[in-house]
Amino acid sequence: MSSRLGVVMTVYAMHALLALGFAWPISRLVADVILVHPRGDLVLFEPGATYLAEVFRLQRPSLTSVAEGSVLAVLVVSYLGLAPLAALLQSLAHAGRITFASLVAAAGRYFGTFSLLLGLALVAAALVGVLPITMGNLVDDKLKLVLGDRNHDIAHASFRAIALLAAALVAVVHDLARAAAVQHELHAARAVLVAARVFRASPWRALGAWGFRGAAGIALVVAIAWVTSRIGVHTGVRFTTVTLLHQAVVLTLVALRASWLSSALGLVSLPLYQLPSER
Amino acid sequence: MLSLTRFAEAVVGALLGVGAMWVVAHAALATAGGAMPPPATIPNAVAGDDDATMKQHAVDVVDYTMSAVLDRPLHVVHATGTIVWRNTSSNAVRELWFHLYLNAFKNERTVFLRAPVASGRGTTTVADWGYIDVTKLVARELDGVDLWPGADKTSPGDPDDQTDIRVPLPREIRPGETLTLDAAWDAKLPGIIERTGFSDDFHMVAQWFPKLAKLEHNGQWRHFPFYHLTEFYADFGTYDVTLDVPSGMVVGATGQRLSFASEKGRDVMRYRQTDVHDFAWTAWSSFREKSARVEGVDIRALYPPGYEAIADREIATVSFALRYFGEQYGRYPYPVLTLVHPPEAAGEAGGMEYPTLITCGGAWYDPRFAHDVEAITIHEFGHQYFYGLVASDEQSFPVLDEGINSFAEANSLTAMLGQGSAIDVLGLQVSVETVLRLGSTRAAHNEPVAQAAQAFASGGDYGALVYGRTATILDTLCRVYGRDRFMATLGRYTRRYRFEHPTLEQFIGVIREGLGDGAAKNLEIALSERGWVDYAVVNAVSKRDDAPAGIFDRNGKRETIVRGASEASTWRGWALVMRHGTLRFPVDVELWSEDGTLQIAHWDSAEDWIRIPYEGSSELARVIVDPAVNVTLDENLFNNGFRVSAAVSPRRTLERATYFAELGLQGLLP
Repeated sequence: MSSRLGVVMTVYAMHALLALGFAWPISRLVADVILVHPRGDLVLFEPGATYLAEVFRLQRPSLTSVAEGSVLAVLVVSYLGLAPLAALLQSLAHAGRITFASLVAAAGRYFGTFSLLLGLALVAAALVGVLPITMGNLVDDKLKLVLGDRNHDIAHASFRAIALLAAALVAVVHDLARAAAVQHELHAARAVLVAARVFRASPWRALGAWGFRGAAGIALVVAIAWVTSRIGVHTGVRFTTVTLLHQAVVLTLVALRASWLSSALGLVSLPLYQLPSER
Repeated sequence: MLSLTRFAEAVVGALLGVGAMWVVAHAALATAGGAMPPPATIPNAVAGDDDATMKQHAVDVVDYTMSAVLDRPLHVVHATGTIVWRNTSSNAVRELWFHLYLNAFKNERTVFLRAPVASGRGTTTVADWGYIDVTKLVARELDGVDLWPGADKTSPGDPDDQTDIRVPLPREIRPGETLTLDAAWDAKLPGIIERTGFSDDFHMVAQWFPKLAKLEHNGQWRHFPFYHLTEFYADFGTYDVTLDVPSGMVVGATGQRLSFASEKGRDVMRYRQTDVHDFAWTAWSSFREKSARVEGVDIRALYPPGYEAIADREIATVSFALRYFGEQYGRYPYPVLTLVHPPEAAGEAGGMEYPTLITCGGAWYDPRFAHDVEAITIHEFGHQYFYGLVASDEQSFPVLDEGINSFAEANSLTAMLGQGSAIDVLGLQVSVETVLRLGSTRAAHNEPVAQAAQAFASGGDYGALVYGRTATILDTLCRVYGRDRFMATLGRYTRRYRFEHPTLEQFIGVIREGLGDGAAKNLEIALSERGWVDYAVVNAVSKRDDAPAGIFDRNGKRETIVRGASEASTWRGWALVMRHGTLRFPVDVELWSEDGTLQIAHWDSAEDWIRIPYEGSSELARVIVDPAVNVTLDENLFNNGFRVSAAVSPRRTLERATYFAELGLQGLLP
């Protein structure tokens, strides 16, 4: 991983630029109403949220338009994000010096395969996710009178948790398939087979590696939110500190993702899990 | 060949992705549905305005002694009772008026159910019809004649409604005379709707008896059909009620329980309360119970299984409220307070007030950082004052109960929870005042706040104006004229009119006593004339106080002074501040110099605009009117500021928006 710090930094920089692109129109809309205020946008962070609510009230139509307009852009960006992901996996899969040209080539080479894998994963997630939710809704009313409010809600939430867990399993296998595709230069179908075999052989190792990093990321975001809420943004130093902490969080999240992908590459590299025809 | 395969994979993958999203979207659609400062001293106090002299009891006008038997399977209350009513007015009366509120749920042609109210409480389909059948109304002092056969069958002028019934009397009842009425009736509860009814085994029994309308001092009855948005109005008295329910049902009711007996599969208990004007009760087999004793009041919380944590929050909230409201508005005079948290399926019964009994609301999992549970609980507790003790006419003046109480709710929640009284999570603190202001601004110009409940064009306007706008108006008065002074004034109102039925004029009169004519006029305009205000700093300039340049003929000589020939150390200028609208609040205007020096000007807002002179050792940099946002009624807070120098960048906003976008991208990017 340490040898790929440059690639991780590049991915982080890309995310930051994209995020800036989405944030810019929103901040400009907000700026239109708040910057005449002598305290500038500091008022948005005051306790009670009087001005924050005022911004949303006065700029709601524009903010809504921007948000709606961003949906398509987010979808496109999410899809095109497959290319840098392929490049990241390529860099993680190969030791030694790696050139920019080879990363670009890998991005192009695996974009199609990753697209198919994404499509398959979305279908699989929809199927395994919708099924328990639908089942939960079918038995919903029948359970209500028997169980009481709390137990009923817990039962209902359980079906949703099962759906989420199933979708998480799909996500893990999906990443394993991506890793296999890059590690062994496989097409989508064979990559899925390898991923399924790897997951079947060591599900807890795969889930543990994925889940630990996911949980660590969420915990970090919440912890830093708590810390920054106490620091505040009312002086330049505090604002800079908060900015740096936030960017450190994002960088860590990118690193955690890369770390997981690196683990996935390791899992699919074990000879035990290769397909019979490839031994 | 390889690249063609890869391309094909990409196309198929994209199609599958779109398909999967379609499946998820449609599946989602298909399953949708599923410690406190002492009061300030204000002038013109009279006897009754303080805790030592305020009334201890109400004038007893009407006493109800009732026996009710709950038929659980049929959801019917078989009841008998005696109503002892005294004519405390100055005129003789020849008729009685009774409210039969349950008839509002008898069919779809009633005043209540045919009202064009689009959404909110009371708009759900009635799952089971409700009604009240009076079978006897015998007047002892009138030769034992049964008055009910001679009663009107429908509400006046409305053949489809039976909620407002006139009962002619064979002779007039003179001032001071008493009438004793022996009554019998069956109350069929509707499927839970608008505060009352049943849901499975849960029964919320409210507005369940023939309730005498209120006779005003002039001998006129205040009676009205059960309008959709209307609440209630009645005289004070004593309620002595014996309840008979199947054994195992847990009962909560208005007043103190005096006795309990269990026999032949039935539990019989007697409740009694003086100085109240309604009686409600609930019965459910599945209630759990917690209790506490605070300020000499026995608090009893009834809640569904699994709501233990919520019940603890509700008890903690009323424990604070008993102390806070006691200090601000006078001691809570009753020995008991019952909190009822209905089950989820009976949510419409939640969030309602009855004397000594309130219904709460919220889900068992409501997070602690969002204070909905506390807000509902303290709001309903507040009604023990603004409705219960200060028993204004809820139909004619909803502003006096829901409006003032919404201010009291926000004020007490802020005292309890601080600036995050609505939401307090990870640095984001949203106050209830902000929420109320936000909700009310959209309807501010639609119609007057102070009007009868049924006069509002929509339920949305009623909610936004009566609750949100009134709270914001009072919040503005509180901030502008001083919190201590305002709270002392509101406390005078609640003490002077404890166990009374004050009007809007009387409320404004107390505001005039405590805060002055200006405040009272603002209140009157804001409530009755859609009063509004928007302060704005329109412009601000300053320049060095150099000698004027130009050609001057002085003392027979022509003198030419070149601009900038001498550089004065003083800057002079002005700020133009305007007030739009019909309300006039005294405000501060801050003028900030470039070197950080601050000058504060005070403007009484008597004029529509003011040009405030500036003089300082550096350029005028920023101007802001009402910097503390005392006038929360201000329609646009962002024109309150003016920056002379170039605008600064919205760096904090950009940083936070970027961070949130980055987090979002972490979840969305592959």
